Amino acid sequence: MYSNVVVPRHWTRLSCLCRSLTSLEGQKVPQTAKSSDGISPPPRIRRGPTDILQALAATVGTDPTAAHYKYHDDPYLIPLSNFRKRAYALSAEAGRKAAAWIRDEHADLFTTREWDPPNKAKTPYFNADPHIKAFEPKPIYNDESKVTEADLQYAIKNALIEDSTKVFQLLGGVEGVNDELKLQFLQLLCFYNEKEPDSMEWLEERWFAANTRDRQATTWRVGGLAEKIFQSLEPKTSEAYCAIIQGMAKYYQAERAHMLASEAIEKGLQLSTSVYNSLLACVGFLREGTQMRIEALKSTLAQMNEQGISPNSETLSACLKSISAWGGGKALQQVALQVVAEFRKLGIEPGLAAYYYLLCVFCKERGPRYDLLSTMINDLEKKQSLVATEPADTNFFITAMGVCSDHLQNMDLAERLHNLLMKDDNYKLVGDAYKESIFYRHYVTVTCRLAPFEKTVEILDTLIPNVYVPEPSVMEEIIKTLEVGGAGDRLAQAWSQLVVFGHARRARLVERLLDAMCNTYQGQDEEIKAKMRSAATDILNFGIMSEEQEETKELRTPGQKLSASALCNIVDMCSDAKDKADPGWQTVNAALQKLGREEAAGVPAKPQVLADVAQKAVAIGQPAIAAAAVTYLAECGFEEAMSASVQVLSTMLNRPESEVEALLGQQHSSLTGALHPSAMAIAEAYSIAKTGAPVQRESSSSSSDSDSESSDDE
Amino acid sequence: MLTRLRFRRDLRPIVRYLADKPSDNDGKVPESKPASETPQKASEKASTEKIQELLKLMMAEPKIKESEYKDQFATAPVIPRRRKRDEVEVTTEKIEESITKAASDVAQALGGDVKQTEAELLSRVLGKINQSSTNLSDLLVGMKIDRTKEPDDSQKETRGQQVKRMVNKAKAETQQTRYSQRKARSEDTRSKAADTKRKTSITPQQITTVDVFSGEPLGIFKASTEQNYGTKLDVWETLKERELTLATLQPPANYFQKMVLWTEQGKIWKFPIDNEQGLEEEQSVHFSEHIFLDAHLEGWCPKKGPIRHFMELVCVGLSKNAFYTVKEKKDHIMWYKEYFESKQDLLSEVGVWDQKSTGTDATKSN
Repeated sequence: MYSNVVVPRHWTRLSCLCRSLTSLEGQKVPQTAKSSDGISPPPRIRRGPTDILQALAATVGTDPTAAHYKYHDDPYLIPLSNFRKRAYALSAEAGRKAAAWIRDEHADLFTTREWDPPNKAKTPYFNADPHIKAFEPKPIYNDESKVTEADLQYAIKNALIEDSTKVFQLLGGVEGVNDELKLQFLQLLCFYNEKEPDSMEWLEERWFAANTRDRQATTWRVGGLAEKIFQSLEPKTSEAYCAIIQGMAKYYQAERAHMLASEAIEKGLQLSTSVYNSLLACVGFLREGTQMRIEALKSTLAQMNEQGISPNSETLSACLKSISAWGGGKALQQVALQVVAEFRKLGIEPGLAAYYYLLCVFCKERGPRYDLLSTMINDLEKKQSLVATEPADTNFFITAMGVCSDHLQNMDLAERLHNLLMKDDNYKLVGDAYKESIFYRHYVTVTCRLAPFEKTVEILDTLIPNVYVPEPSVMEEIIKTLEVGGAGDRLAQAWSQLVVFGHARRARLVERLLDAMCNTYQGQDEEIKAKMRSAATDILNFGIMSEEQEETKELRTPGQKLSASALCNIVDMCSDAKDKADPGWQTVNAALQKLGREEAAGVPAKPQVLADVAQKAVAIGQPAIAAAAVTYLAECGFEEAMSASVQVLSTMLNRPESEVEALLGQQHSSLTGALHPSAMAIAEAYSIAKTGAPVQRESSSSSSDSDSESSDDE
Repeated sequence: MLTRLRFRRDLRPIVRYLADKPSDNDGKVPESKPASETPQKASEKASTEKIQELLKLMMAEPKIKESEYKDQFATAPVIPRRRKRDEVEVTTEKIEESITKAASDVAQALGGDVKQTEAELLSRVLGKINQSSTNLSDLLVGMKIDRTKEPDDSQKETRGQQVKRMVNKAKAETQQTRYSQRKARSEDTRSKAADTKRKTSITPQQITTVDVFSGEPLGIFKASTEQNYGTKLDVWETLKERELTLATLQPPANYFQKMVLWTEQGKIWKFPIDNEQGLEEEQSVHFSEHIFLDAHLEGWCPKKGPIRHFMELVCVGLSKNAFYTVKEKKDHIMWYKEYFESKQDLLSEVGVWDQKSTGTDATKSN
């Protein structure tokens, strides 16, 4: 019973004392003062809540050999194609969204506090103490909801357009809400044009949304809620004017925006820099023709100056945005440079967005080539750090890389640009997944075209597949590079990459690859040759497999078939086997059968290959293959068929060619039974090649032409 | 095969259309004048040669000016167009028309296979004038290959013939295809010099270096020290900030970044860790008020006895409760006060409610 010992009256005084003591404790230690004994504690550095975390994060380098952090670090779950990357990331987010949905829809399940006696439960309670706003259920409003102005404020603060509109209605519309809140609501409506914006919560959705550049078209909602609210505001303050003008200008309702601006000026209301920025960005909608537009731009700037409003960096990018939207040409380029100089005089340096628009003005697809980029990169490299100041900043890097690759075709600049993006925290300026992939598409293309082979390979190895998965067009570029570099093993590898990236069904790409492999096949090591052969076999098997799949599953888009030339390439590579038992011969056989059944498009570009293969096959003891090759040649009517069949037969029968020719000149029927079936097939092929038809012996004029030609060749 | 058939089917009406064109403008067209005279004099073979020569001559001649053209032909009323390129196209198209007319005249004069001769002529001329266009002239140029064979396609060709044709066509083109070029290149680039060669092959055709800062200032603004940004819109600014963060937001690349993100979203403890985070309303309250709760018993609770004992235990319990706020603790005690007071009659009857001592205190405290 300690309470009996101390006099109760003194409790309050004691607590008073305690409080004063702690306030003494809490006083700041003098930061720079030196104590008498010479020990000076270092001054305290105030840290924000995330400073230390950011410092730690900066110590973690990027590992291009690992998948992105958001994916499971499990070989089976690492996505290697663009489709999978997207699907996996979005599925993970879908799970989070489902959880959030349950929390919102069934908020009542999460409202008990364990230590509360059941009859004392108050509503609303959240199952967390301290109360964490991020985890609390989102309020759902319907017609019966009881709402207060606090709800509207909450919705405005969190940029929830639909909720705030609902609450606004429930509060009684324009009559039921005070002017200050109405003004805030008006700003929200104007900013988003009454459309629900992206949520901050769902990062992956935004990352993969592929928002292309915003359309420059009048999308402002005419006669919408924003305009009603603006009408109801009385007296109309300059804030109200600013909000509605900025909204209209942002969504290109240019004429009315400018009208309202002049109205506000007449009334003597002060506009703002942002208002003028938005007006400048849509000034081109007022006039037609370059000259008129330039005049309008200048007059708006002059008006801004008259009103005594100072420009900022966004004014610069707004001007350049307008200019870039008007097309190209000397006059506009001149004006763009003038604007930049004007603002530089005022101490406003162009930011990334301004550079982006400048590139748009100068670097057109067709037209003279301008090198602005080197000055820009020089300038940006000098800067301590790149800070994003407006959303358009994220367009700079992709456009600049595009300019490097198509316009200037300059590898050095591309590399410097890439290094700039990799510096510090700059990578956030890459924007979203779509822009990132365009950036790398340009980078890889320019590298393949211009960089030395070793360098190219190094860059490819770093970027692919975890940072970037090449699209078909880029893949073609890569294959081309590998072909020129003569990297056979990499070409063999490229096939497995095609499969993994999901491009294996693109016949054109596969054909391209086979071509490249065939061209580089000679002069490779035996080991690599074996790899390439197995890759070729695999290509054929994949084709057969996917055809079977198509038949059974009835896929919506039937894949294209490999062309005859591609099959010929496979045959060419796989026939390079010294041994009769080599599995390559099976592939050759399969490919020839495919050719024979006319399952391939077109005809081989290099028929001589087949003739050679036939010769090789018969030499090694595979007469059936030789027969198939020669028969196919004959059926296609190649001139090579004649000579090939004679040569093959002579090898097969071990007789000189002249004797064989004489033999073939005999009656067809007399040969039957006297020869081996494969030899018989070749003899038949010979007759087809000679007469142009197998049994009926219909000789048309053109095939007799071929006869004479081929005999001339011999 | 298919493309070829389509070719023919497409060509027929075009050729017929051209052939049917009236030939009444003989004298008007300057270049058709000599062409229409020649066939009457010379024999068949010589005439074709001459025509080709003339056509070559014609090629060498500069294009007729638009003013001349207008004088000689009935033209559609000129609609002023903004773009220059359009105008160029219009003029070239008109020249084309006149040439086709001339060619049809010549062909008719020659007799024989009218369509064929005409097409041959046109393919020679137009094929060179505009190589890049994908219109009429291209179609006619493409006809050259098919014409060598008998055009009668009712007879089905065998696979052999088909292949032969394709091969021949390919051979004719093969010199210029990219494939052969690439092949040639890939062969010679096997050597070490490959890369340097490739670099030099791309000619830096007149890249103009432009200094971004080379322009003349417009001279509208004057640099002033005072900055006036006008009316400020709070909500607009915050939304702009929001859009900017959204634009540069990336999925976290490691666990620390994830924690940064969560911290910013307010989902985890802020660093440095402090177990009173989120209890901001209690920050101004001294801990002693949480712990020493006996003061709230003063004034109503008996000084001794079971109720006092019970209430002191309640206070000890509450002082250890880390979840209630001071106000909640006080309310808790007051709830007991009300409870006991409502049972006052019974309690005093039992003798546990000391009326005298509490009464005096109660009046004082009140």
